[in-house]
Amino acid sequence: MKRRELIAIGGAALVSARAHAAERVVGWISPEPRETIGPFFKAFQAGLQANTPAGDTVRVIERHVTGGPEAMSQAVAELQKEGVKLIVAQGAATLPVVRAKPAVPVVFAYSGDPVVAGIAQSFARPGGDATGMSFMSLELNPKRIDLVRIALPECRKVALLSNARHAGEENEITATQRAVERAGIELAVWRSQNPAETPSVVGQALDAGAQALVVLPSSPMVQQASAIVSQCLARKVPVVSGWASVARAGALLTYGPNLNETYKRVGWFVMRVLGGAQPASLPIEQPTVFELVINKKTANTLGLTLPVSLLAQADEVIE
Amino acid sequence: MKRGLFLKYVVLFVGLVTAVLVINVALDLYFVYQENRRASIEVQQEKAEAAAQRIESFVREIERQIGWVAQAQWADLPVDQRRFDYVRLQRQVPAITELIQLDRQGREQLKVSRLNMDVVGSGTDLSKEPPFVGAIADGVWFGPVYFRKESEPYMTMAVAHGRRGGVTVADVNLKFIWDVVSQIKVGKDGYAYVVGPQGRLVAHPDISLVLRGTDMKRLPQVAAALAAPDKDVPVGDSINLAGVSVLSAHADIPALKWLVFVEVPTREAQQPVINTGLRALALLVLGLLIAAGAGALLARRMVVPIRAMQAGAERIGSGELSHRLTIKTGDELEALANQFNRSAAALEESYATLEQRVEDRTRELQESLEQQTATAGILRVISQSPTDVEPVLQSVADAAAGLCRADEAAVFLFKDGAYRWAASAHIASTYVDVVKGEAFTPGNDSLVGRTALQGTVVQIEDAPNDPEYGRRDLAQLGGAHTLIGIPLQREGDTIGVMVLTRRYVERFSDQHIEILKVFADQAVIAIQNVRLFTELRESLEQQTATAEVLRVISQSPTDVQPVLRAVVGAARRFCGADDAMIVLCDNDDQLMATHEGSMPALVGTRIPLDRSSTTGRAALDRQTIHVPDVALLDPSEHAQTIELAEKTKVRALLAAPMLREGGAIGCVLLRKPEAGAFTSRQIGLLETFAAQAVIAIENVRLFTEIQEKSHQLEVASQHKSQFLANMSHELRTPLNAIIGYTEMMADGLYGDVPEKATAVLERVQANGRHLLGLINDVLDLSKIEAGQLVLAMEEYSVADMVATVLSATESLARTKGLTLGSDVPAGLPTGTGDARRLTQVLLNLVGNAIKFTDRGSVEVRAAEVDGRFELSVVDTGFGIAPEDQAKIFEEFQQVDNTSTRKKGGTGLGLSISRRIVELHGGRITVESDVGKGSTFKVTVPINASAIKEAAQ
Repeated sequence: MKRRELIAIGGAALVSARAHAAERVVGWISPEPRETIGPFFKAFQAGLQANTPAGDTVRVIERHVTGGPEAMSQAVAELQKEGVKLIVAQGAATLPVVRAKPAVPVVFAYSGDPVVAGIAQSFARPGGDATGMSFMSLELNPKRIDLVRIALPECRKVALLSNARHAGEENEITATQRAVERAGIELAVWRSQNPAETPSVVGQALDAGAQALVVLPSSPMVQQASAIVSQCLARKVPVVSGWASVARAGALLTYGPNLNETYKRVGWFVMRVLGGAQPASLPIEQPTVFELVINKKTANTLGLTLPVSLLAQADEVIE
Repeated sequence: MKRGLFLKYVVLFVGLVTAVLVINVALDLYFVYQENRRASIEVQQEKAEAAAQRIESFVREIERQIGWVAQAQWADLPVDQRRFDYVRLQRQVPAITELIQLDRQGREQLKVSRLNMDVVGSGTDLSKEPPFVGAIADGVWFGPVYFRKESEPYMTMAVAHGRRGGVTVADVNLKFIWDVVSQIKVGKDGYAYVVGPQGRLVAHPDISLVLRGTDMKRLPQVAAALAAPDKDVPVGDSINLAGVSVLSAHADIPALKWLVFVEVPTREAQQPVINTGLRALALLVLGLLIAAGAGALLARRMVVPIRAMQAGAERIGSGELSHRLTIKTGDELEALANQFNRSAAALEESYATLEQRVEDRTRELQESLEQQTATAGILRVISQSPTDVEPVLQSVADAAAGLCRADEAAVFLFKDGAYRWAASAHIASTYVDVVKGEAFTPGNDSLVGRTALQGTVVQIEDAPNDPEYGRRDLAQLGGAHTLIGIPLQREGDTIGVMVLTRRYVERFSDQHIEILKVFADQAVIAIQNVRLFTELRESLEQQTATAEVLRVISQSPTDVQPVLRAVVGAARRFCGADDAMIVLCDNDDQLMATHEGSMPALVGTRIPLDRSSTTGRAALDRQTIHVPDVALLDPSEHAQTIELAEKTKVRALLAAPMLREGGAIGCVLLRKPEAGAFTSRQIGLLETFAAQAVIAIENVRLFTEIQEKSHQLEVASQHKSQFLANMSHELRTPLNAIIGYTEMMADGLYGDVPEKATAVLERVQANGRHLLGLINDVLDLSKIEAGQLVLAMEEYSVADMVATVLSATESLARTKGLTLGSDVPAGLPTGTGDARRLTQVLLNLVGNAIKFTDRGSVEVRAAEVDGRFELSVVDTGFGIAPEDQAKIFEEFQQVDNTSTRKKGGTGLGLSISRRIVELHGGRITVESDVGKGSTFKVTVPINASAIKEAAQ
């Protein structure tokens, strides 16, 4: 009897020790609701899975925080209480999370420039306790306008809708303006201070005679993409942006990194840091693969005939 | 043996196999290691080449893709077409980020980018840029690696559109090489990486290292390869960034100036060696087990028969001689066992005979022991009775009878001309009484006589029935049949006979005879011992007596009476008489001087000295007179002796004369109340005492004479000295008058003196002075000898004394042309003594020195040595011969009379000096070499106390 007990206790101890050693917990903080970020979270989990050594499991505690920086800090504190070994900050959550200075490392999936945002010293050597992916969401703006020009050869007035709080945005906007001016395009910049303000800002841009609206990709904008697209399509003005999801929501075209690949890579970062790598010396990576998504339905709605060369470039055409 | 042999065999076997296996394994490992290393290096090198090829083909593929678009005619196509082609190219090659078309003149015609707006016909002149120049020259051009945002590696490449066409310039994102690099498999844990010409990492399976801009130059293998790009840097052991030891090889891509490294952990590369080692170890263990098994088996086969042999040998050894070993191994062990069996058989046989011998020997030993015990018993008795022969003879008889199985034993000793009974054993007392009365003489009659006559062992087998045996009466009385007589011999003389009898007939065996001879010898030794002991004791007693007399003589040199008493006492004690006296001759009478004893004697009475008395006869004949029995004397010749003997009841007399220079001064007389001769020893001893008495008397006489003579001499000497003293005084007074008046005459006090008379006066004066000195000296000497010279003690200074002497003798020395000097150290203490006399001594020595020195110098030296003054007078004169040196201090002695006469002097000076110095408790010595000079040395105590007796 006793012997059996002993074996049972021993076995239990062994099992619990193994479980303890194998399972690690990480936190996930996103400023978007689960519905919209779902596909990327899945990609992230797939990346996590692909890089997890056999036998190990990594449990992710999700936090979708729609509030301000205080809510973020609170989420960070909660996650640390839960015993997370690392926090993944997604999109606009990156800056508040990193600035909350958690005791555990942070891996981010950030659309802005982390060096300009001040959370890394350089791409090669972040220097702090945070590292991850930068999405090049703004750098590609000139190329997006170039694509607009191809799709709408007569287009001369382009409106740029930006999230005023996006780090590095000003630099990019200036660079974009310099690039498009040479191509004879007039660029008007419209800034939305908060999501509630966006419809009126879009309205103003349309009223100002914009022939196309380029939405700078950022989490708040992505959440509002459908509304913006509907508002613009009603005035026969095409919308262009960076994330494929926006094209699916009715934008004429989007050009940007393949976010699925990028989020998978975030999974790699998590495992690397959990494996002992120091975020300070783990370089921040940028996407290498970009995708052009064209919504042919929207083109048809707008009565546009897209050139073959453009279609040939497309990675995805929504019929 | 125990387990020893078994273990040794097994250990030896296992050790041998182990050694062989270990050597084999070691060699094997060594060669496998070498082979593996060579193979690994070759494989690594090949892999490096292959990796380099794959990397290069990645770039070449891009070049090929560009080349497919960049045809010579392509530049003439419409811009949309060209743009489309570039877009397509980008789609096909994801690594290309940007494409630029340059026309023949190097002007930009078209730019298609993934990141920026496409630009058509900008016409920017890039003809001087390296891509254009390089591509035009070589058809293709590869730019250096550069890093966007300091992180992502990029490279520019340019491909010419044929000979006359333009150039397509492409920016390539080298992150895409990761796909290639990470797919290059090098063993299990190996990897490949690419390093640019500056040492910066271009591609690596861990992309982070590339993005971080890792500088690979810090790895030795990279630094070495970069330092010597042309040389074939050998593959070798190194370490990687993680510090793990790796086997590294590399190959270069010349077109790109890249180096491709392939590394595999050394541990993995050496896995075959480790495997071989493990296999070898397993083999070794297996070999050891087999060896141990085989060794044990072999050892067992060896050890089992040996153990059987050991057990068998133990049984034989423990006395089981009939045991036999059974070993059937058919080899040397069986032969050995058989040998054991033979030895055991031989041992068994010899053991049987040995027992008999031991029995015999034991019996012999038993007998021998009995004899030894008996002999030892006799010897013990001998040692215990040094003065009595009786017990020894008794025990000899006892032992002889016991050991020789005799019924009776008796010993007879030669005494008073016949062999008489001395001791016996087991003989009935009645028979002993008969034998005691017998006195056997040498002859054939009795057994004792026969033995004494022949001096050998005599045996009579059956005495009662032996017709030649003369004393059958004795044999019948004792019931004896077989008799044996053994002579006791000393230096050839038969001093006794031992007789053993048996009451049955059986001859004594030779062995018994031998034993009896030994007993006889022991009996002789005992007899001898007793004799020697007695003689020694007597001799010692005589010595003691003589010594006693001599002691008394030495103690009384002036009185003869104690000596005479001692002589009389000694004579009484040692000469066998109770009464002794000394008679002295006094002219014609004899005087009874000393008597000691129980018999009447008239000390002080005189009897006439004539030959009718024993003492008178002895003195007059000057020989010892021995009268064993007065009754036998002839009355006509010994009237006085007989008369005195009757008066004093004396029966025997012995008189020894006390002889001196031919005459007798008396006699020592011994008297006995019964008749009986004195032994020669007693006579000799008495003569010795007589001689000692003479010596004593002579001694006393001489001593008295010497005493009288010396007293007379002393008186005469004193008279002489007194006379001399008086005489000197009496002589000096008139002499002083002579000298005084002569002086006055010479000075002209009594008018002018004629010249002739002056010379005479001077001679009178000189001779007078000399005579005065002589008389003074004689006076001094006589005073000293008469003991009248008394020192006048006072304090004196040596320096002053020397100065006085020198000033007195200076003129004399100057006259002879001698140097007179002194050496007196300052600080000498003040002395105590008769300063005047000491000055006289010093003056005498210096005067003598000047007198006996013709050339050179005279020096006085003073020193303090051990509380004494040492005053030396050193001259360079004639010197004194060694034989004369002692004489010169005696009165009236001078060296070499002829020469000293010329110098004058009385010959008393040194003698007086010596006496004076001795009176001070000092001494005077001389050291001299003839012809070289003399040194007289006076040593006196600094504080002298007069020794008045010294002069006498």
